[in-house]
Amino acid sequence: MTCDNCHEHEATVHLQQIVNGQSSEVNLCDKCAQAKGMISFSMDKPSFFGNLLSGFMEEAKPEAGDDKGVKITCECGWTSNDFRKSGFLGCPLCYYTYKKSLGPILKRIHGNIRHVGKVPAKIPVKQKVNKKVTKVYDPTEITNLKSKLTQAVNEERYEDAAKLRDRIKKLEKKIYKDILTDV
Amino acid sequence: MFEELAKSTSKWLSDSGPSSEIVISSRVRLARNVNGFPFPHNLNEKDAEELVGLVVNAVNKNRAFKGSKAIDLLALPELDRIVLLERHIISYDHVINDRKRAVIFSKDEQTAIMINEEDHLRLQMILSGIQLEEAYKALDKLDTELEKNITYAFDIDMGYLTACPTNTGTGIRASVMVHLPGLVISKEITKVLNNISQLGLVTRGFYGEGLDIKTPFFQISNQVSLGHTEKEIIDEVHKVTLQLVDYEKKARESLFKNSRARVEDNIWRSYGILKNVRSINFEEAVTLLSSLRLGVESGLIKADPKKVNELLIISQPGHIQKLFAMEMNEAERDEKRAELIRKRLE
Repeated sequence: MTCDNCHEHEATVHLQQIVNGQSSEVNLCDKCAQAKGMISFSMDKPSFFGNLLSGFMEEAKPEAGDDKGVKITCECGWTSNDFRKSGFLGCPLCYYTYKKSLGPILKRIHGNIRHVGKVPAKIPVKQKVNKKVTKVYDPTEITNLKSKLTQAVNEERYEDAAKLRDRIKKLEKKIYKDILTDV
Repeated sequence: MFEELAKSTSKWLSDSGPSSEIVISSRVRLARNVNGFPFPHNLNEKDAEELVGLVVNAVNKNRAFKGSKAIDLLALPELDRIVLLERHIISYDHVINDRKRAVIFSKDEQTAIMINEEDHLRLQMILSGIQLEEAYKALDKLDTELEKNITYAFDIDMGYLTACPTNTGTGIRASVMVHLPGLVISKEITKVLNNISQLGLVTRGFYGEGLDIKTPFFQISNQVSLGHTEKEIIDEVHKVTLQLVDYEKKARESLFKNSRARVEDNIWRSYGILKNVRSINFEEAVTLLSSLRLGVESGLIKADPKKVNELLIISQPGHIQKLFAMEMNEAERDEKRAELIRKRLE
């Protein structure tokens, strides 16, 4: 079947419209459908969850620095497109690869972006996928400082809070340095 | 495999935990992943093999699974996988997937770990009645033990990193399975379930996502896993469940007060059918068993509530075939189901 519009290419978009009880069918090729703004009916049907992530690609595109929509690919091989379509991340590292876009998504799902629950005794330092030995650090110090910071803010002790914030930053920088030397 | 298992009753069904006349069970699960490995759906065969081996090794060291062995689901016949699904030990995804994966569960079936399901590890604990806090306590301990031999994928800001961002943070899902015939009969149920969803909780049918059976059995769980502590999440589900128990009790009271004849008639009829039936499909069985359960829990019918609970599990298609040790088509299953129910209610 050829496209109803250009009569050149194979029609891949079949749209059934019902207007005033009259049903009509339109068959278009990808290009014409896109031009008519109907492409969302045909390509990469996003899942229900995909819709939830709809803000994702718009943010991801400029980050890739290419307006043709070059995909970001995580080290594990999972692309921003895979993420958008499935709603799944490819590996733990994806959380850092797609960090900028993930923030708003987590916010939309959970109403929050910061974890406040259980913290394991050792936390892995971000590193390559499929690395046999995992570098870890003890989170005790940093979580202690963070809870002190929350307390200071709650009690409106802003000077203490500022000091604590600086100490946390310094500590995080040190961990981040480990990340850099590691990757 | 599992001939003995299919004949036995899971501890969470035979115990009588708090409010178990309405809350059948409480379940808590934790989603965890091993650092350095892609998530299960993105693992190649070799890595999947390595990951499952690594987790099984770590799990085997744990005392909770003493005397239990990890089961390779790739090597397990389909019927056996379905039996595990029907007993709430594994998920539907874990039944149908074709990647390397495993499950290990304690002898009493209260503790289980699915390996390489949607996440590398899914730890779960099921207890009778409303016992979410107790279930989490036990799981938390198990989780901390496992952590000695596994480095979990965790970020100080985002928490536990999971394959799907809906589980990020605590990775916790706390749920209760409730039996609400009073609210269903009095047609209050839609209103109540709407209220629950407005509180940010999710309601599902008792028999899982795949089956669409409209019966008075529901599963209620939290939706949000990030930004609240495990305790806060559990307390919220607990609080709502207590309220639900209260509503259901009141609905039952008012039914027995205002429409006694009609309700009693329905219960006795259901009992009568179940005791004499010669062929029955699963949906009808569950509907009648629900009615019988209401009769037993309100003292109208003298029968062991455990037996009724058990029938809710063993009336499922997988169990019927396992118990009669043969593969059957639907019509044959309906006959054997009727036979089984009659015998158990004698």
